[in-house]
Amino acid sequence: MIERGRLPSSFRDPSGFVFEKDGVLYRQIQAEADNDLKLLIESGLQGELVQAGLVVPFEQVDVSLAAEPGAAMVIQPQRVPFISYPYEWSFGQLKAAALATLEIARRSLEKGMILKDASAYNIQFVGHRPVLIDTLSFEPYQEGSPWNAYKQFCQHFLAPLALMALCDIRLGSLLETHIDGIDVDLASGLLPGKTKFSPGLLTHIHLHAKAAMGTAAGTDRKANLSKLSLFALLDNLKGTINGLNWNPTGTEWGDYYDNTNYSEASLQKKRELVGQCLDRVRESSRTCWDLGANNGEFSRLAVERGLFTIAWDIDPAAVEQAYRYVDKQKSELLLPLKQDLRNPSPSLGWHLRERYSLIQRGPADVVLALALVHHIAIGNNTPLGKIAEFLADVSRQVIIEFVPKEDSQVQRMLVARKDIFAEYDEAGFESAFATKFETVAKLPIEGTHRTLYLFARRG
Amino acid sequence: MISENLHIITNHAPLAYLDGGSGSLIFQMLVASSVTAIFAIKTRWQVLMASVAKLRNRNSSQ
Repeated sequence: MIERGRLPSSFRDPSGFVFEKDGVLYRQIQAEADNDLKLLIESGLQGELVQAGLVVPFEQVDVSLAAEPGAAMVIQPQRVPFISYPYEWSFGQLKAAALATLEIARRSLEKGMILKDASAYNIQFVGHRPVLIDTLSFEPYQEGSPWNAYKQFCQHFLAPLALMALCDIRLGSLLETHIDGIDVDLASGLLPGKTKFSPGLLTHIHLHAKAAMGTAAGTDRKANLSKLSLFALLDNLKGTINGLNWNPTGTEWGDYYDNTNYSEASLQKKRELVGQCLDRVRESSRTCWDLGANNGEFSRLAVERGLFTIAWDIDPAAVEQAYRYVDKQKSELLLPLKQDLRNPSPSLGWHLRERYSLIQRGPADVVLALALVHHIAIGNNTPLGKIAEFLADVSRQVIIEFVPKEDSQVQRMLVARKDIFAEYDEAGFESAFATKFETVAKLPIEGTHRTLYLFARRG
Repeated sequence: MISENLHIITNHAPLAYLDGGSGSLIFQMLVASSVTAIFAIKTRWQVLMASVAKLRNRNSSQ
């Protein structure tokens, strides 16, 4: 029997936790939160939020399934197809997650409840759609009380979005080292002075930073924050978030398909060959990772064949473009995410077990690695054998493009450096991958020097 | 000073599992209070405009 027990990331909130039993995900609700969950259901809030696609639906199951003592209830939430993290999201994804959080908070308040936390990790993406996965984030609203999650919202959403939009898009990766969000005083110090003329940023970042340092004066009197004021605060935050925008251009790979050395005919040929390889693996596959996907052009071929596909790319502009496409198409099968394969997402958080590494979230049934290997092998001095080892860790089957030294893109990479890559040729490539994979197909791409391979992992 | 600030908050807020930050909570109350009037005017204006639009639609469909 497979039992995995409590998930290592589920320990902060004493009102319950998520656990896995025989491959099924459950959430145990402790007695102290029983009434909160009942109110969530009976008030109609859960139904309304599910209808709006803002939270994951769940079913109540037998309490005897509880993993630990103290259970009042056990629920089975619908599993999201893939767990991603805020430091892997594009600007648009983080913004959509922020707006979804505020919308959930607003609707909760209308139903007499309030979000007790506003962690970006409580949001997951089902394709284009951000959904709240933490059913225990709701508690009854008490007249007069402030929003306890205000500071967390600013740290997890507003501060990184402001830094990405107004300083540098790459500052989004600060979320990887600051897993409880970016402190408002840090954001205040990094943001340009002109942001003090933005009422929203002046208030929620700069002045908030001063107040958070404990400089706000107080008096010993009863203070009330009316419900109307809370609605006003949420509305003000929404306006501030909506005012932050970023245009996905000007990055290294943002305009990749305008600068490729493929002719339209050979690009079409490549599409056909990749499609043929995908057709061969689709029966045995449900998930696809497109590594170095750029704007997801080839990921769509996997989606068209019904595979849940993650389009990973290092470039924030490319991922943003892919997300905008997914959002426009309302696709639930394609999820674009940021990933630097030279330094993939590590295990993070308490005991290095709160956030899973990239490899822990695999393997994918099939990986696309198109026009990628030369960037890692030559651009990052990584031996082909090590690339094969990594791909064997994250995939069962690989559709991979080998770009030889005769190709103008590789020649361009070698112009300003010594060619130390003696083993970088077709024979060296095949020999390196033969240690981990069997060759299922080898298909030259017409009109280019490139070759497409379909490999199946050994063992 | 912080404990005085906390006293204001804890008159109403249940002690939560998440540390909302005393400075942040006080600040939030000031901000929320200051934006309430504008919000109230904005929402009433939206309700009024929605009613006018509804009335216009009804008249044009008759």
